[in-house]
Amino acid sequence: MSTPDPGQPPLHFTGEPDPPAPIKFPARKEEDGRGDALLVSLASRGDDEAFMALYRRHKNFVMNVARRFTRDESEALDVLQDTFAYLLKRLPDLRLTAKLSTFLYPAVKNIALTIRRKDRGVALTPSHDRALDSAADSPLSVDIKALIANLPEGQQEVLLLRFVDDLSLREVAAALGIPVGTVKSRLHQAIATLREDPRTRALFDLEESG
Amino acid sequence: MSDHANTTPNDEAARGDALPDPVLPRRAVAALREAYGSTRPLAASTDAVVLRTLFEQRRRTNARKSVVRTLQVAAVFALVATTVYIGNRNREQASGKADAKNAPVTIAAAPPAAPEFGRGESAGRLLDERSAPVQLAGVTILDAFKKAREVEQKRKGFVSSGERVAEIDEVDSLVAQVVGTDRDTLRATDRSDVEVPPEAIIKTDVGKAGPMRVISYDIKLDTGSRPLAAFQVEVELSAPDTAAVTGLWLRGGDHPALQRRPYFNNRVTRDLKNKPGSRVRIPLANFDTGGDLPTGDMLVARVVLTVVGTGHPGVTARLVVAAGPEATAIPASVRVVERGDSEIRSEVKPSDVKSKDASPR
Repeated sequence: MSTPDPGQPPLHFTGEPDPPAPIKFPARKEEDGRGDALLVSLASRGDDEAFMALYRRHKNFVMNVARRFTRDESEALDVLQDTFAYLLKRLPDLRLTAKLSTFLYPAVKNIALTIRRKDRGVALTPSHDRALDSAADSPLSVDIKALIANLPEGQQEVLLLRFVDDLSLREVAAALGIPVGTVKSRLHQAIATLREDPRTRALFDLEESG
Repeated sequence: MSDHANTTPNDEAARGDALPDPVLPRRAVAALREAYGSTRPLAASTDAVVLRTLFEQRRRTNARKSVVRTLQVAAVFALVATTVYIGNRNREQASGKADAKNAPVTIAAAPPAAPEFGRGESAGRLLDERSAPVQLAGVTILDAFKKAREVEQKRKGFVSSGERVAEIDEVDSLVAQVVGTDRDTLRATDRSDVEVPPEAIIKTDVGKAGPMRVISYDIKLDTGSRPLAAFQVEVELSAPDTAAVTGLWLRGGDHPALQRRPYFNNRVTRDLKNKPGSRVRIPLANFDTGGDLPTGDMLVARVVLTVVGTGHPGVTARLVVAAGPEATAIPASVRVVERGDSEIRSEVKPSDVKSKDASPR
């Protein structure tokens, strides 16, 4: 008996009395050398495989950002589905000129905040959300989150997009709809704040790191 | 941070442009990613559920769009078809080529199917209890008569012969409107002698129910001392429930000016024939541009029917217009005179009719 490939989705759900017609997923391509623009172009012409490649490539980014803005995993999953539903809806007219992340980030943010407002009736910043499950974090992570939670929201966003989500300065600027100079300015301010704090100075100071 | 507190967005961007790209030590980046970049992978089944849901949503959306698009296309087609239909109808009305639906006599109820006996459309529709009242068209035989006089006067050296003006398009179009047909059918009817093929008479089932009779009705006009140059009457024929009209002929009057058969629509006869209890209205019209015109009480048309069955047909007439040689309306009265039994009514067998020329002309 062969072991099922964890990366290959099942053809249908088990345990259901009358499972729906299975979707035939193409073989997963772990290393898809095609760029986002090409995949978007193919997907916009009805290529489901291209759309699934986009999904696999960006689902972790979307989930990470969604988790920052939502309280729990189920809400993040809702955001994930709504974000890709939005992408699917926009595909026929979408002409991508940068990485898909720059298109997805504002969508994720808006959808997440909408879900939060609807469910909780309040709007929370990413730092607030993330602080809720800090019990499982290391002491260093708790300190970092506490510090970053005190940063202005604009600085939090650029810091996390640049160093956690690994977007370039231009991509961060495109995702947030602000000039590159503004991104750099906010990053410098955020890093300066982190370097000033004794709890994280050693971590963020370039000279001390040697 | 405090020195940036009161800066504008432009100041912030300008200041950032002058700064080097911000960098962090690797350990700082790793610590940030540990704190914020969750590496918890999504289960494969979760991916499957998300993708399946997405594709199902797209399928439903596309299906909905398809239905909407189909409805839109259907609506556009209906709109175009309606526009074309109305446009064609208006053009036909304007060009005088309106079919029977737009003819002078309009009846609400559609006529039942009937055997074909000629080309063109019927002006005299089968009437029943639901029938709408007669709506006369704006065009009368007076208009055709005026046009004929106008054409005649334009022709150099033309001498009125008292004969019908031969096939002038404008005149025939007007006449066709008067009797509820089109110009070509009118001309074809005018050239033919027999409106009902004799064999049609003996094919009727009603013929087995009784003898066949030939009945004649004279349509008479009385204009007093005024000469009659043109007339238009509407004759209504009705077959009794116990008999059927199997044939219908028309002939002109006694005076040479009106001796030729009046203009009529030959398709009108099909609505009457072989249908016990049926009724039709038939516009009849005639004119003459000659100088020798009749006066007083005169025969202008004769309707001859062959009837099978025991009942007796009814024939009435209504004067629409009578005109003198100056193309002006004149007072006149119309009446229908049935020829006496001893004079013309006779009983014949279908076989007798078949062997004879059924045309009275």
